[in-house]
Amino acid sequence: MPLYVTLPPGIKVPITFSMFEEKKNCILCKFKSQDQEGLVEIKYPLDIVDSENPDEFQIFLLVKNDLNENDIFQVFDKSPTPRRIGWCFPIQALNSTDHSFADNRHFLPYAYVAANKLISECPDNSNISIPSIDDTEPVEFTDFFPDSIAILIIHLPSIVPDTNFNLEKWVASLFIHGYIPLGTRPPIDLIWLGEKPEGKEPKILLKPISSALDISPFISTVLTDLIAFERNNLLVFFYLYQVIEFLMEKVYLIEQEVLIDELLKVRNDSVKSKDILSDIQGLSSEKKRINRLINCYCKTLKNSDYNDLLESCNKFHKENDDKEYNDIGEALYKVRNVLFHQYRNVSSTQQSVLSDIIPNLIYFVINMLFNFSNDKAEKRYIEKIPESSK
Amino acid sequence: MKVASDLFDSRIQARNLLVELSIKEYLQLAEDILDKNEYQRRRVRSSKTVYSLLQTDIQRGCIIPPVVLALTSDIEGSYSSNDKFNEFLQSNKDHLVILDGLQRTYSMIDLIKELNSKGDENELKKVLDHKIRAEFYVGLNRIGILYRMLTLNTGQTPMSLRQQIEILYLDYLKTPVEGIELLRETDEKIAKRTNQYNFREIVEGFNAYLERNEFPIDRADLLDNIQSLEVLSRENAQTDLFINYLKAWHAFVQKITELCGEDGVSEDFLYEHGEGVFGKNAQQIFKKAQAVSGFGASIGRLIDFKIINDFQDVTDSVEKMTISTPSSFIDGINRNMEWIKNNTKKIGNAQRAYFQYFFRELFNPEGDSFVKPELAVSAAFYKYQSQNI
Repeated sequence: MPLYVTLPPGIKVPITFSMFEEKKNCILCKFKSQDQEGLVEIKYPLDIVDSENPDEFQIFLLVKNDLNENDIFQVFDKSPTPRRIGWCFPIQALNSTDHSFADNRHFLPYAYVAANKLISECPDNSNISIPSIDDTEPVEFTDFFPDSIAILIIHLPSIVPDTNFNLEKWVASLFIHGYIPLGTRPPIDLIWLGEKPEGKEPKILLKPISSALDISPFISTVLTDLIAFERNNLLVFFYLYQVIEFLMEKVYLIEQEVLIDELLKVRNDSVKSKDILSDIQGLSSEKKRINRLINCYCKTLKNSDYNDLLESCNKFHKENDDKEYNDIGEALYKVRNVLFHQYRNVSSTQQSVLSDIIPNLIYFVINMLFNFSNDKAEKRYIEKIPESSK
Repeated sequence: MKVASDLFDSRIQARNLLVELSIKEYLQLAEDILDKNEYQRRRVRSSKTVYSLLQTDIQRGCIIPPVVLALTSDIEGSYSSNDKFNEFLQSNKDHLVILDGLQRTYSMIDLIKELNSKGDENELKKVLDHKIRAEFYVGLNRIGILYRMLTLNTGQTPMSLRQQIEILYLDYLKTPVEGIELLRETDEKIAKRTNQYNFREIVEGFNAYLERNEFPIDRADLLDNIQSLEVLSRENAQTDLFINYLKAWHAFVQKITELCGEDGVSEDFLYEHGEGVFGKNAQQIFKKAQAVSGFGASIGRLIDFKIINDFQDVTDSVEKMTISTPSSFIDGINRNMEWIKNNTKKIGNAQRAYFQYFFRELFNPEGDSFVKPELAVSAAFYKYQSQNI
């Protein structure tokens, strides 16, 4: 939908792109209501570098806490041969030439396409304002959007093999850097900070969630609508554990299907049937499922991906006079049990340790979403099945 | 044209003449103003309803509310009698501005155009001969005009203070002020020489002084600080505040450029931070809008705190400034600007705030950094961080 402006005395009208007026550094937009028509000037001080085909681009509105004007990043896909697929920048970057990219010939075409698309294809969202216009000063993009809004612009042909960019597939990756899609919640309530890209030429590296997981709105809802806005560590732990539950359910369904198939194949062999039935019984134990999720389905996770989490979980257990765990699955499962079943006994020191666990757990859960794979798990059962039964 | 009333406004120390004139006579004056004054040329919105209502009303002989005009500069001669007022106006029409009634003027112009294109001679003559009333303010100082513009500006399309200052001081673009040249971006001239400044940036600095605020005006809150302008209009009775501000700023830029000489940002700094630094030398740094806005706002505050009296105090202090190592002074400012660039939500506003602290430190006779630009660089940064982080 287009952007809207408010005309005196309070009439809201949509605007459409008309032209760029170089002399005034403004984008001129037309409006027409029942009894008024005219032009609105939107300040655009950057140089115009036209892109060949604006239809090849798609924009998304994101929100970020503590977003600085110079937080302008190239966006790459995190593949073995990373390609630039777009840019991510704050709305303020369209409003000023003070940032480091005001003369960047690679950035400018993206910025201009983004400005045009903001005018014509803006999502319908209660966080977008409808500024009043008069004949005095041009309006600015920041009059429509809060300062904490960033624009993600993707060059669709750069997404290979298919040119479809489903944001939900990439949400976890954006979340790591502190960006979440603009939803209905006011950006000012956002708590999550994320990690700013670092390095000499910092970039945002986007990684999709595992292709073994169906793209589910559940994951983006938990991350961006709940965790990102939640201060209470217990609730954040609960939400994150829901993602683990979601993955464990996948494990259960995959293994159940394999085991039932195998059970049918060996139905005349009581010894083998008992083995498989025992496996099915083991599958119903959450402790074992979390173990299998981490050690079999997320096998590509490295120790460095969860050492900090293991350490903070053990610190939590130590406060409870519990033993030290070597296995991350066990350590985490034990924290879950204490929080869900014995919260009344959690000490203030443990509460403070919980605030160390949370950021580590966030990155761990997101890494599981990236690394989840059912290849190895299926093989395990195939390997167990005797040749004669195949 | 007939002068119906000639009264003296003792609040703003100016004559106010109520004049009855035909639309033809008025448009001869007004079209000239709109042709010459680009800041009064803006017309973005048109209302079909209001337009057609006004058009119909004029054609039906309705008396529209008076338009209000003023003479902006030192005018030549005077009018000996009200009969000579028309002559007096014609010889000074380059200095006329429309304070109130811009949209009505456009509507009249549109109506005449439409009647011309229809070829309706009788109706055209009737409308051109139709009488309207205009008020002319004559002989008030510029801040007085500004005050009157603001008090009149209660309609639906008020102007911002910056716009009004632009309209008011536009004639300085034509005439250099004591060797200081003001250039307009649209003249395709770049303010390269030490005595040349971008008009718009100088206006922003003056605006910052009047508002005691270095930030660009938010569209949402158009000015209502009439109280402070009231004080200013009295303060400005004997002198032209804008000229004093401009002279003080020019004195500073000249002095700092002279103190830094040929020195600029160091090779080491460029190696570390790349070519895109804020300013490679003193002139580049202090010709930016951020610096001049910071200057305007800081001087306003120093005067409010009664630490200094006026711009003359600043001009006097400038003469006492010393710098021992110009390149480290320039590196210091650039280092602070680089930090601000990477750590703030609105870089331009943050840089304005930094310069506001810089000039407050530099021109505060009670402070340690008084007339010591090198000390003011770090004191301002410390102050900026302590107030904003």
